[in-house]
Amino acid sequence: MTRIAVECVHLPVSEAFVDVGDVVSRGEVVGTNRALVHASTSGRVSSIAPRRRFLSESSPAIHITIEAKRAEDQTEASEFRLPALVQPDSTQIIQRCADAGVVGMGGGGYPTADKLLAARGLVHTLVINLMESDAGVGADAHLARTNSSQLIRGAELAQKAISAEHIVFAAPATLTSTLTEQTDHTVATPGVSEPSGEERRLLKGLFAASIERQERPIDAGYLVLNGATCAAISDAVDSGQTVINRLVRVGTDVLRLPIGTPIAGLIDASTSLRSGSPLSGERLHADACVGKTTYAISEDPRDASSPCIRCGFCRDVCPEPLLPDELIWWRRDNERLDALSVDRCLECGLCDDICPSDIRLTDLIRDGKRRLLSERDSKLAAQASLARVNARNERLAERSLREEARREARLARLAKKRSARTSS
Amino acid sequence: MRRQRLGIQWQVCLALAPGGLILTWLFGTGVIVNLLVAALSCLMTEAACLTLAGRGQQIRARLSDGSAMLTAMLIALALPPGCGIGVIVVACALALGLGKHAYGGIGQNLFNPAMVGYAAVLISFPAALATWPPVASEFANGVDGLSGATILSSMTNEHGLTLSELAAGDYGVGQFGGLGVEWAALAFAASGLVLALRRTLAWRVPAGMLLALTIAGFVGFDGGSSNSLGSPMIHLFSGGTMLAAFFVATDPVTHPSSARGQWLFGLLVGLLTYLIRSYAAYPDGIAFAVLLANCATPWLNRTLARSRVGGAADA
Repeated sequence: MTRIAVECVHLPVSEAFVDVGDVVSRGEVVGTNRALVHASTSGRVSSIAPRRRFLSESSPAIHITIEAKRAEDQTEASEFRLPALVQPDSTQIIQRCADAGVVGMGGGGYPTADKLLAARGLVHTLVINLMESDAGVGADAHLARTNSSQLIRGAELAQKAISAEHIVFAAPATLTSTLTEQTDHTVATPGVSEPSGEERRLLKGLFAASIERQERPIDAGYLVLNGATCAAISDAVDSGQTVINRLVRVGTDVLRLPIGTPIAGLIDASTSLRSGSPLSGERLHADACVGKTTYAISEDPRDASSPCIRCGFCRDVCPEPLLPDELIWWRRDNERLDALSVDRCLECGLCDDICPSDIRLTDLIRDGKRRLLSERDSKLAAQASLARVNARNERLAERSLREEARREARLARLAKKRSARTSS
Repeated sequence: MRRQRLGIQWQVCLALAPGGLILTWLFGTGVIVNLLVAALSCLMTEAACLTLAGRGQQIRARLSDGSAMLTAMLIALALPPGCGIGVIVVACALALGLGKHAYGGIGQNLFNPAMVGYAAVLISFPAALATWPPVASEFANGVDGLSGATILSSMTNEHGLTLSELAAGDYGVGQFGGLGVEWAALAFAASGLVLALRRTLAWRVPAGMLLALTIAGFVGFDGGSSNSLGSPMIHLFSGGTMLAAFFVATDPVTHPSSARGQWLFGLLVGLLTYLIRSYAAYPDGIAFAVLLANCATPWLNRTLARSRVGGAADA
């Protein structure tokens, strides 16, 4: 496979293990961000600084920037790899997922090692989720068509890690025949309306399993992994490769790109770009880069919206019991948004599709949701800090009371001594 | 369900065409004149209002969304052919100027713009609006000397006559509704039904309205005496019942957005229509019924809006 030459990559981290000026090789650990982060190119760390990813981001994340060596020096030999595992057991597979920085690559970004560890022994059915919003043309469809053996291998490794009884591939109708030729595992198309890739809907569509909102799918015996995640597991175990590449649909092409590739050079960004679907995906900042969860980059169609005419079509298509029109009307009012359960929005974009006024409902709802959640977080943080201050004040008051009592006792003792002396 | 190619307002306009053609057949070219004058004045009013509001750059988008054209078509079909160009121009100017743009333009208005315009000229020019031209003789069932009376005006004005006497005389009674216009009503109902099935309009509104009118019609019908308030069939297939049920009351901006709200709104329009037809001075009361029910929309929205959230998840 031809490697796309990048001049530099930017990797978001919560903690960096390298310093500016360090020389790193491809595949090496450079930091952590819930899961380990690895250098996706060989080169020199040129900066560790905040960088914007999304337009509606409250604060930019710290990124490690690596300036790539010349392309001819980027050989396979210079790449750092973990030792391949032969016949690994459950613990080895999970440990390897952690070491290779595997995360849920369908959008969740949750560390796969943690997920497998929590699921171990609880799950009877492992579901491989190939239902994409861009059905048939997305990154997972490309993977299933061009490298199904890797996909299936990753799924089987995950099955082994959690000792699940069955594997079920949930695939759109366009992919079922390709997969059935390759595997004896069940391949099924869930019979639910969009967004069929959403975990709970997927399980409902496949197994008629109703999972309460408070419950996790693993409590009901299901674990859902995304296709790209399976490929990453297989890479990590069989060839020791850390997560430094991923398949990304860019416009209508599917490319294998190093994590951290700036999006600016990939696609003509005369309009703005989105991560995911053209209408409802997260709006990308011009500085944004491919992340581990970036499965698609789409051009944002020009916003030609007109005012809401309150037709209520969005209510009919909303898969959750939400009122999208009310949510955008009250988008600046946190109390109303809370009462309208804005946090239940799946950001599936069906309301954007149906709106006769071409309103970008998902954008507006997402902004409101973000603001409400961050307000809730800061309120909780404030409450926690208030509780700490109160506890400290109490401790101080208690201590001063104790000291007061001790002082008084000492004074009393002194007075007693003195009176005894005078009397004698 | 994907976004439909043609805007919903244009689809509604298109669906008005069959009924409009039948009216043209009945009443002659007056209907076409009405349409042309109304279209021209509505588009010009829309453009003028946008310019005044400093939204000149939106003129093209707003004129091409079909909403002004729909208002124009509804006014043109509601007004009697030959009522006079002035009346139409006034109706259109008031509909969009007062009924829509005074509230802030599309999506912001409380009342149905077409009915604001229609009600304004109904009160201002009662004579012009009471005079419907005679229907073409093919429909007259052998009755000649057509006076232009309509079934509803006859029921309001000719209190001494029983229903069968009205039917036998020259009082605008047709085979199952208003003479001739019953066929247009049927056409409006058919194309309205298609829109409802395509989910272009909220089907609960016409369902509620027609249900209320039918029930009220049954309750009030005494078999056709001189005091009779008209049979359910007469109420359904006369005046503007079908036009209003499928095309006027279904204006999404001015009806409630929740399912229960739409039912209540439809029932309210139907009931008010019946009451005004039966007990008020105007032969037909649909315009007032719609406007009065519009007043209830914000309240229905507020009271019923949050009913979907907080309940058990259905997904």
